[in-house]
Amino acid sequence: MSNHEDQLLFTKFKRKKKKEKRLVLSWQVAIFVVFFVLWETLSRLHWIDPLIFSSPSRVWSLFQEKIADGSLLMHLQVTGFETIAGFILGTLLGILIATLLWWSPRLSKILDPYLVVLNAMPKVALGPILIVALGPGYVSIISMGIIIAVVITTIHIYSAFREVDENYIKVLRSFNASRKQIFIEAILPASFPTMISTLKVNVGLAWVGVIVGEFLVSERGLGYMIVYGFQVFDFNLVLLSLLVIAVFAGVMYKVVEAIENKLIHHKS
Amino acid sequence: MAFLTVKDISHLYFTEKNYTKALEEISLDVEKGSFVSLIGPSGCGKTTLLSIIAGLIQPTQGEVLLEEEAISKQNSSIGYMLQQDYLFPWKNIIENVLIGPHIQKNLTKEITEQAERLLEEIGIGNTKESYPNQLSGGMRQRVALARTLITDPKLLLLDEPFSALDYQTKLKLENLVMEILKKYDMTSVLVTHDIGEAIAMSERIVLLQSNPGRIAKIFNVPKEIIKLSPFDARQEPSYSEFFQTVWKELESLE
Repeated sequence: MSNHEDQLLFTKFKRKKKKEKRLVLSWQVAIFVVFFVLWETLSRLHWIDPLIFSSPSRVWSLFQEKIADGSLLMHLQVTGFETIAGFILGTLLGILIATLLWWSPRLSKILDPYLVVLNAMPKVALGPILIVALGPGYVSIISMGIIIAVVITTIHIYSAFREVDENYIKVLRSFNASRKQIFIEAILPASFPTMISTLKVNVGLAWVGVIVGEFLVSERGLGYMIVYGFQVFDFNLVLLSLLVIAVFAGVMYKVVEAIENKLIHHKS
Repeated sequence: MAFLTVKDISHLYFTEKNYTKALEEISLDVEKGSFVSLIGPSGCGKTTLLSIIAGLIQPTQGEVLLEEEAISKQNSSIGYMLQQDYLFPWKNIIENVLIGPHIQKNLTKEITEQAERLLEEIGIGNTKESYPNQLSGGMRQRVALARTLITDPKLLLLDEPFSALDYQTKLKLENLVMEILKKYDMTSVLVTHDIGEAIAMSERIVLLQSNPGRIAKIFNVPKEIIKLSPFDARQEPSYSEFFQTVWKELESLE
């Protein structure tokens, strides 16, 4: 086959790929548009109660209003800061504890039942205690985010550490590597993919923790907006906060994905 | 005194309910620059013995001496090549080769240049910037060989390093390894289940029996075979005759 024909086949292949991509994207856009159009229509026709389910146009006008008076941005900043802090601290703490468990197999045997129980326990229930102990401010809200993320992070990452192929360790030990070197050279990099997937889970968990924290403290933030909207029966406000949370959780997820692509370059 | 002395090694594996005797009173001497193979039925403790010689496992009884010093007290490394290459996928080839010096905090410019020359010598000089998943199985095992050799080990331990390769690659790699070993006058112990490979590569073959692992017989490979490269050895008339002898012994154990 001539070079020219090969080139032609390649162009054809690329065109097909592009077409597939465009198809997926247009479906995604279509679902998005249909959802909002349907929501608006049903609400206008009173097929669903506009008082409870609001409508896109009402949420949009409320959005403009809240942007204009600056309150939405303030709430978003507060919640955003708390979530990112809870997310980062929870993940780091989880990795740290997992490292300790790997370091000392005895410690991990001792703590095993406690981890299982802590994982099964609804950590949200600790909220009231946190608020009394740490005061009704951002410290207790961030702690809520941390507590929700840290146990599952520890369990996932520790099991990733243990699943690293023994033979990599054998190779390093044949060079007289210390336990610390084994950890840095083999255990940690081999567990990067798991860490990233844990990060993705933690994005969601940190939002849950922080929003629940704000429910309880009720001072500022998107969680506060939801509770306030509920109390004054303004569901436009509730839905506005929900949509804003959805957008920002999506953005955080994308950021984690970008980090993933950067870190795991050898995946090719 | 021999270069490597294995003295009365016995090893037990414990589980919660039971224990098994993997090795019983193994004694063996290996001269400097010689090549010894360990063969035997599966479960005869070949790999356990190799791990003990490497100092990776502490035997229940007995000791291993390298130049009359206990293996656990050695500070220079023992070269250990596994069945698979176990290259680190997140490091490129040259970084993989230099992992030993890196661990031993000995990563100098000379060592790096030496690693590049070594890769050149074993025919994969142009891959140093590549990542392991871009290389074929044979090339990866060559990299693993370079990684083992760069720390200049006194003793090279090979745990079925060719068994995962296709036949052609395996023959080529056997020749390459022998060339390198002769050039650097290395002492080696090979674990294999391939009688042909053991005959083609080694000077002595230690046959182990199982349950518990004990030395059943030690063969001296005929001189005319030792002289030849592993590939040519397989063409030598006395090769098949000797193969039959070893084969019969091995059969009688199973």
